[in-house]
Amino acid sequence: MASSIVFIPSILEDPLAEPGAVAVEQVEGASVIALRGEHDLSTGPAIEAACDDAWAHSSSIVFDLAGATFIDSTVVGVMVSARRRAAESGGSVAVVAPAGGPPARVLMLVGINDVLPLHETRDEALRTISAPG
Amino acid sequence: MALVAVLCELAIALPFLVISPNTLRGVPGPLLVVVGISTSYLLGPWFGVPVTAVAVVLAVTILGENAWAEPLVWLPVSAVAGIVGERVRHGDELRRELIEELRRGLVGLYSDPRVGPLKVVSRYIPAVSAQRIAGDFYGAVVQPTGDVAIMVGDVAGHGPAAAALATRLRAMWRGLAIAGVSDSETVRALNETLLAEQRRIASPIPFATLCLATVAADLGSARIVIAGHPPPILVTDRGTHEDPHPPGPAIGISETSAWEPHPLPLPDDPWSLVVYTDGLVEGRTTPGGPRPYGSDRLLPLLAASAVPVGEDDVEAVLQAVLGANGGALPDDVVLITASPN
Repeated sequence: MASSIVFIPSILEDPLAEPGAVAVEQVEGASVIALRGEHDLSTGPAIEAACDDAWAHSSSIVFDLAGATFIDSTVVGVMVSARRRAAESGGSVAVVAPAGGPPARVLMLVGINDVLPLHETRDEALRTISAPG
Repeated sequence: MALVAVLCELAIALPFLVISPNTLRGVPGPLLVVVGISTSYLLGPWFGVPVTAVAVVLAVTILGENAWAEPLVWLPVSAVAGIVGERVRHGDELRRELIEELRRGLVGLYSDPRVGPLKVVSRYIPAVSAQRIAGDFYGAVVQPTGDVAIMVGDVAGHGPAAAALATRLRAMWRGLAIAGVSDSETVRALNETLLAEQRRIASPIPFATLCLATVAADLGSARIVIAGHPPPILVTDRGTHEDPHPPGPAIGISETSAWEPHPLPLPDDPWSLVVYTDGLVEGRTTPGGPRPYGSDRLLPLLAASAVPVGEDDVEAVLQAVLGANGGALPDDVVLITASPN
């Protein structure tokens, strides 16, 4: 049960911003990257680091955005890159973004839901990852 | 030999023609040397090395730092500091020029806002830091049919790679638009190009978003193609209308993506078509408040503008968004309005 939490000192760059948090944990053979708060360019490197950490532990990643209040294209970019890497290496990527929430709206606008289905709950996402095919 | 000795004495005496020994009492010798080397770094070796020489002479003769080998150490140091300083300045200048030139490639340089039958007002605000460069781009051209093609796009990511890719996509769009290639074919070609670029670059740009709005020559309607981008907004005296069609996917994500244009009827009354990049609506709702500002706050701002939306209204909208955010926005912003002439 490897688990690590990285708090981002984005507060140093923007005194108004609440620091967005990134947490990685291993659940049922998959790495779950949970984002809380606001995430943009300033937290991008931490999310990428979390991805590297996640890939090191398993070939399946779940991005849990249920606790994220804002994501911008930087975060979408990291997820698109992760999907590409999974497609190349035979892994899988799933996204938890409850319908109507801010992350789901951004992901639907960019059209990532065509290639990376959005799930309502973490359990649902984990089920699709463990399901064959 | 005698001549050299005289020259040396003259060189040592020279500083005292301008500086009285009394003014230097209590000044530490190393400080003089630091001043000389700093001068070299700031103003170049040709000026800095002689200044350092004078500083060393003063330090040695007046302040009793009786190491005559000091010039042998400090003059080369000063020369190196001067050369490094010049390199750094040259690098800074080059970086400024490159960023400026890249930015110039991202946007059109229109001295005349008239594009065919339309008046196009555009504002491009680069991201907060002058040294950071993002990938927003736009353009407006008249097609062979007389239609006006307006495009705004946003390459995900920041830095020179994003900006350079954005300039390539913009140039490609421009060529295809001028040649009269259909909007869906144009987006398909841009998608293929971005996918090819991703295979070529080690750290690829994950995707890019586009909004193409092509206004018919008779100004009766527009064709809209959206690839993962905020939809255009039609502003009339009766209010605002955000294009309701679900967007197509961003480019650079999938080989099988397809984009179909959908029509946007334009009224007989005065109107303005507004297209923008997400930087405009990703600021804060109040200073320190939550993000994002969102298009639901942008729409009332535009509805309050006079129609057609002119330079002053565009400025007012930007000021309102910046004011809510409590200062400069974190990302590039592009805001374009197109209205009948």
